[in-house]
Amino acid sequence: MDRSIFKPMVYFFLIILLVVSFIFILDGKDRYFQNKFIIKINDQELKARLDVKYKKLFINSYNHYDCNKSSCSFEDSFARINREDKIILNVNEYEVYNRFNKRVSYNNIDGNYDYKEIIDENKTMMVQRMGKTVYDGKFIHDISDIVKEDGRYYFHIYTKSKRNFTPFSKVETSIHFSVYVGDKV
Amino acid sequence: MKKLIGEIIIFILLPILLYICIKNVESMSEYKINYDINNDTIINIYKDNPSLFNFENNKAIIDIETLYTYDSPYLFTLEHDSFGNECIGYYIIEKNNDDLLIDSSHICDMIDY
Repeated sequence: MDRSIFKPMVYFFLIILLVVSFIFILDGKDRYFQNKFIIKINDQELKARLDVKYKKLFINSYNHYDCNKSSCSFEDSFARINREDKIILNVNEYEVYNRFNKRVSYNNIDGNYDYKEIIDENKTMMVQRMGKTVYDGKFIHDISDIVKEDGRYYFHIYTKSKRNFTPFSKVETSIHFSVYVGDKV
Repeated sequence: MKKLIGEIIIFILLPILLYICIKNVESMSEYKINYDINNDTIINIYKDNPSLFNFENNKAIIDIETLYTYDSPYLFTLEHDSFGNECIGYYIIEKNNDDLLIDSSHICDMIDY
């Protein structure tokens, strides 16, 4: 084997190892904190499933939460709202801080915590009904034009946020919920 | 000595990178719905309260809301599809003598209820 190529390879891998270690140390300070999400349609709070993808350098890790509220009942999965002239969807995301002002994960307990709202203007949304996609695009609050007919609509809202200043760390959250709009058939 | 250090680094770093790649590929693998997850629960609910199932010609269609919100000690789990939608469709139950044949292929159908 030609040993002359071995030396540059060692230096190359050594540099990669150093860079990776440095980024890991920087990113390692940030734990995976779960934010709180409040989803409302016309002031009615809805239950949602959350799928969260944490990206740290090359590593993706996944988590999911079946309930975004402090308590979820069986009936929450079959939410219904009455038809009104305007149907407004609000999705609010909050970072959670304990009484020592340390950031913590939302653990479905609304206790003695402070919430700092995150304004994300880049949310996207997909709406499905009867197996078809009826909307796919930028997140909009006024969904009156999307939910024109009575029926069950399946909403998917996608958010992306950076965890720190390094370009390698991101948190992607997909929010899923369904709601029946109109009088029950 | 330098060569030895280099070789050690390569032998440590390469397996780590390989492990990371495999881990990511595993995570990206396609999600599969477990359609039969509630079959035992449905049989138990049927034994508990047969009147919940309206059989016509030995066939009954029952929506998941009825089963999921039924007050019973049996665990009913909501599956979700690859989009993340909770599967709140319906089951087709067929009575065959004393056995129940459960068609769960419609649990993720988007029905208007």
